[in-house]
Amino acid sequence: MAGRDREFDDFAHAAWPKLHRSAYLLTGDHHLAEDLAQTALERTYAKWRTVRSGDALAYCRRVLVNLNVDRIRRRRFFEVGGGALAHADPGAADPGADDRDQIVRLLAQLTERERRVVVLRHYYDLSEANVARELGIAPGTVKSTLARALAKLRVFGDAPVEEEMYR
Amino acid sequence: MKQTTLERFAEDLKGDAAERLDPRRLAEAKSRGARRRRTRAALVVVAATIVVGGAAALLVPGLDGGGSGRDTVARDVATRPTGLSELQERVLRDVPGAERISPWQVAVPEPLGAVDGMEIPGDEFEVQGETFTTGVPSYTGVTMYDRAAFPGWLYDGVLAIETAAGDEDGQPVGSTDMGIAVVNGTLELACVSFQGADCVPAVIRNEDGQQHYEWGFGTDDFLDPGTGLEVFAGDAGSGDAPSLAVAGLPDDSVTRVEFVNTAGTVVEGTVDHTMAPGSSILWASVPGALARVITYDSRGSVVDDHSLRDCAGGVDCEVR
Repeated sequence: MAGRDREFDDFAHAAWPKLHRSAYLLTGDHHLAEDLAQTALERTYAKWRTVRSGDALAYCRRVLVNLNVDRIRRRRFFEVGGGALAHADPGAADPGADDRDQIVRLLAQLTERERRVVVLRHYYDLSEANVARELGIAPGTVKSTLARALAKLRVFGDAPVEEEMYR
Repeated sequence: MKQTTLERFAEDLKGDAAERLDPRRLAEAKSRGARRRRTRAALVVVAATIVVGGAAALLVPGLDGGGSGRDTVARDVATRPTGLSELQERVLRDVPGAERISPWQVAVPEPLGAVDGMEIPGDEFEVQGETFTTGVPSYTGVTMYDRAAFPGWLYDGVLAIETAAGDEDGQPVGSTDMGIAVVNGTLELACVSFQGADCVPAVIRNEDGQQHYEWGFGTDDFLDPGTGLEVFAGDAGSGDAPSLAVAGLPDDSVTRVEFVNTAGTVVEGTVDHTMAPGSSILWASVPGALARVITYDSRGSVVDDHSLRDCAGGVDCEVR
C-alpha cells in the first residue's frame, strides 16, 4: 500500500467517530449519517494529495456539512434525515431511550441552520469566528443563531444544574 | 423539558463517539474517491470536446462541483467501457464457468475455498420466517482475494488495470469497473433479527449455504405508517448486468409490481406481505439502471407510480 494511502487509512479511522457522530446530530438518522460520513471520506480521498498537507479533518468536516446542506435542498420525495428530526417530538422524551436519541430529539427543535451552528460550535468546539468562516456567515449571525438555539434548548451558561436536567 | 448547562449539553452532544469505521466502508470510500478523481479528469476532456460540438447541455452539468445527481449521467457516459477487452475474452475462453453478463461485463465463479480478504465477520443474525431467493448473483472483485485463488494471468491482468487506474495516492482494490466480476453467492431476502430484536427485512447473500448479511433498507422510517414507497437498487458494481431492486411501502394492497429501467424495459416483480405484515416488499432482477416502480392493487389500479429521484454519492439516495 502506498504511504499516502496508509496515511489516509489512519486518518479515516481516527476521524470516523467524529464524522459519524456529527452526521447523526445533523441528520437524526443512523443510516443516513453513515452514508454522509462515508461520502465525506470519499470526497476527501479524491482530494487527498492536496488535503493531507493541511487540516484534513477540517476539510472533511466542511464536506460533510455541505453535503448535508445539499441533501436538504434537494430533498424531494421523502423527508429522510431532516424528516426524522422533524417528526421527532421534543416534548416526548422517553426516559428509557438512549442518550443519542435524547439529544437528537432535543436538536429536532432547531432549524437546520441552528443545528449546524450548534454542532460546529459545541460538538467540534470551533470558535464563533471559525464557525462564521466555515459557514460563510457573519460572526454576529453565529452569535445570535447560537443564542436563539440554546434558548430553545434551555441551555444556560452558568445556570445551576437542576436535578437530572432534561433527562 | 428542563434546563441544562452548556457544559452538560456539550457533553451530551459528544456522546461516546465509539463508532468504528467498517473496513468495507473505508474500501468503498477509497474506491469511489479514486473513481471520482479519475472521472473529473475524464469529464474535463469530454466536456471540452462536446462544447465544441455544440451539445454541452448534456455533460457540462456534471462539472458543477455541487455533487448533483446529474453527474451520475455524465460519469456513465465518460467511463463506460464498450465491448469486451482481450482479457475478458480470455476469461470467457479459459475460465470454467465464466459467462458474459452484459455487453461489457463478464463474471467468473468464486474459486472453491477462496477467501475474500476484505470479508469481515458480521454480527450474528437469525432469519425469521421464509427466505426468498431472488436469483440475482452477488458480485465482488478479483483482487479482493489472494493471488493464488485465480490463474496468474487473470489476477495480474486485473491488478494491472487497477494499478493503471490509480495514482500516487493509491489505487482501486476489488473493483469490478473493468467489467470482470466474481460471483460470490446469490442474493436472498428475509426478515432478519439481530440479538433477539424485532426482525426487519434485509438482503442477505447465500454463499454455499452460508448466509451473510448484506444490506438493510436505509432510512429509519422505512415502512412507517404515512411514509411513501422507497426503492433500493443493489450492487452498484454490477453495472449493466441485472441487479437486485427492492422496494417497500406501508400498504398491503399491492398485488403486482413493475420495475422499469432507464431503457424502458419492464420487469414484473415479486410481491410479499409476510416479511413486514401490513406492508408490501417488492423486488425484481432489473437490467441496467432502474428508473421507475409502479405498483397495482388487485383491481389493476395503480397504487403508486414512483420515479426514482436523483442520487448523488450515496447521500439522500434511494440507491444504496
